[in-house]
Amino acid sequence: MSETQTIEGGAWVFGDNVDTGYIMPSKYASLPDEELAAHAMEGIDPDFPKNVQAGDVIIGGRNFGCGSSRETAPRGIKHAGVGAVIARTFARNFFRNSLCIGLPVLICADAESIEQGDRVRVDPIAGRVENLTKGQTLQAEPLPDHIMDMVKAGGLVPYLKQTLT
Amino acid sequence: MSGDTATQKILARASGRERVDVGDIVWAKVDAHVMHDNQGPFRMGKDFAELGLPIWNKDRFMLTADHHNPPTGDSQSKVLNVTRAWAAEQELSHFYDAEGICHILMAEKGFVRPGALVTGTDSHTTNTGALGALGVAIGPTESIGVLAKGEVWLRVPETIRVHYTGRVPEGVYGKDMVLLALRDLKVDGAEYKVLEFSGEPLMSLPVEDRMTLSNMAAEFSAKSSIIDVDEATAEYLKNAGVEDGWEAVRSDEDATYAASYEYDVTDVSPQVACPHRMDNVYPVEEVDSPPLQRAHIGSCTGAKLLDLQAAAAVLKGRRVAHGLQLLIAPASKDIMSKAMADGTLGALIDAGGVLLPTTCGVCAGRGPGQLGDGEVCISSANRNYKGRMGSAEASIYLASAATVAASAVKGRVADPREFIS
Repeated sequence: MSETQTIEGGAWVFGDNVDTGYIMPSKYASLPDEELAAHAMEGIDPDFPKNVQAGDVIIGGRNFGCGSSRETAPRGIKHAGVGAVIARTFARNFFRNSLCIGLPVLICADAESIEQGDRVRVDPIAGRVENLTKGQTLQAEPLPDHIMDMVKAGGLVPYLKQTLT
Repeated sequence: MSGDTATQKILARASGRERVDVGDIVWAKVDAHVMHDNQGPFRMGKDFAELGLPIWNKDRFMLTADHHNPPTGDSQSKVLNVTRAWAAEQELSHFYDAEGICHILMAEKGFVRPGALVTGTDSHTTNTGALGALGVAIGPTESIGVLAKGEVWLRVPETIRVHYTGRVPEGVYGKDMVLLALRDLKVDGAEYKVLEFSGEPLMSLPVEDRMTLSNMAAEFSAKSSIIDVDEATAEYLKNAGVEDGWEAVRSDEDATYAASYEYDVTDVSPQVACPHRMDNVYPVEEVDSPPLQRAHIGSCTGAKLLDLQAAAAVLKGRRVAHGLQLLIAPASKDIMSKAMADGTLGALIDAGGVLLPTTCGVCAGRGPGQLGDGEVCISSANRNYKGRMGSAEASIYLASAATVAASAVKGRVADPREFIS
């Protein structure tokens, strides 16, 4: 039943208060999902879309994804291949939107111990983040059961299909 | 046991519980829901159709086409056409096409009542706080859940109290009061929390200007905001067609707050948020800006009737500076027609203002008037990070509509008090 799997890739480190307007600039708001990928994180790192690899992981500081509630922000980075986002804290809109579209997001007090380019393995169900480069294992904050059910289902829509229809 | 905040009471009622504690996760019934073209059918229509469920309550649901409207190209036209087709297919009773910005329409059309829980697919859903309702933002996918079930899960948040004392001086508005708090709390100061704005000077503001504070709660990363309800609120609601069916919900005297801030506004100056962050706030007399190419009075935050009137009071009989363009985008058609009737719009246009549609426009980085590389703008809107209004190489100052108007006359960030005393 679980569609969520372990993710492994390189770390991309960004700082505090990364606004969704930097994650996905407003001017791309009318693009279909598959075209959003080419502009992921463009507002803060114009080279990100061409350098990101499938399975890479974004590391944020505090309040990652603040500002506008645009779902194009997590959609864009998911379509660009990002496997998960790990941050010390998330802005609630980005956090909820990510869970809804099936992009794993992990709240991790030690997120900032991960450096740019570190190799990271993430188990979203167990909330475990292994820094393969540094040989460290970090534990994410556990999420309530009803949210984990959605994570396990792979997002809100598959979860609703299981439970409502 | 200490008392409850208004937020706790609203969430207790909405979740059918006697009482809720901070940190509880509740499934709450939604009293009203709004979705717009930018976070609407274009993103969620297919998934919603696959579920095959009806909308839980069409009388409580509003869809607006305000972000991409009117379109400036093919991709925006597509979004709009998908939005219109979905509205027709769902036989919506409340679809508003280029009629205004969703948060203002929700208030004007009586969708927001004190004590209600409101959800919306936009961060500024916090706007409802000025009417004593708890407005919470969600995304378009989560909106599918609300449309199908009329429910949303929420963690009961802590509340931060921002209390104002003293008297509001001439030239100072809700915008200045909210920027003052943003200066101290910062853009993450209310993360996951509700901002409760209170105090006599706040309640002395017209309800529309109280909205400037509840609206910009989003800029503190707040989950929502709440403001007390009084006779002025009741009058506003009456004009919106809401005469009864609501009860004011107030925080108990002994409610617990996560933090409290207090501001005596008596001697406060107009405030300006400087590039490129909303919390980079200084009193207007300390801001020495480069020459401005654009002044913008628009958005759900800063283009209500009283904003346009405040700008007109400054601009009447004057002209905007050479080399500067003033953009005016009233927040709704109702506001625009009232501003036409009372001469406000005429004064703004005579001063050099360019009238834009009653939609989000350049505040959402869309439509005409977007900033180019190196351009500097002052706006009555809500966000000023790089790229918000066009080029990432442009700079944006945020201020009240009166300060925007004074700055338009001078061509640099300027104090409105010298024009209105």
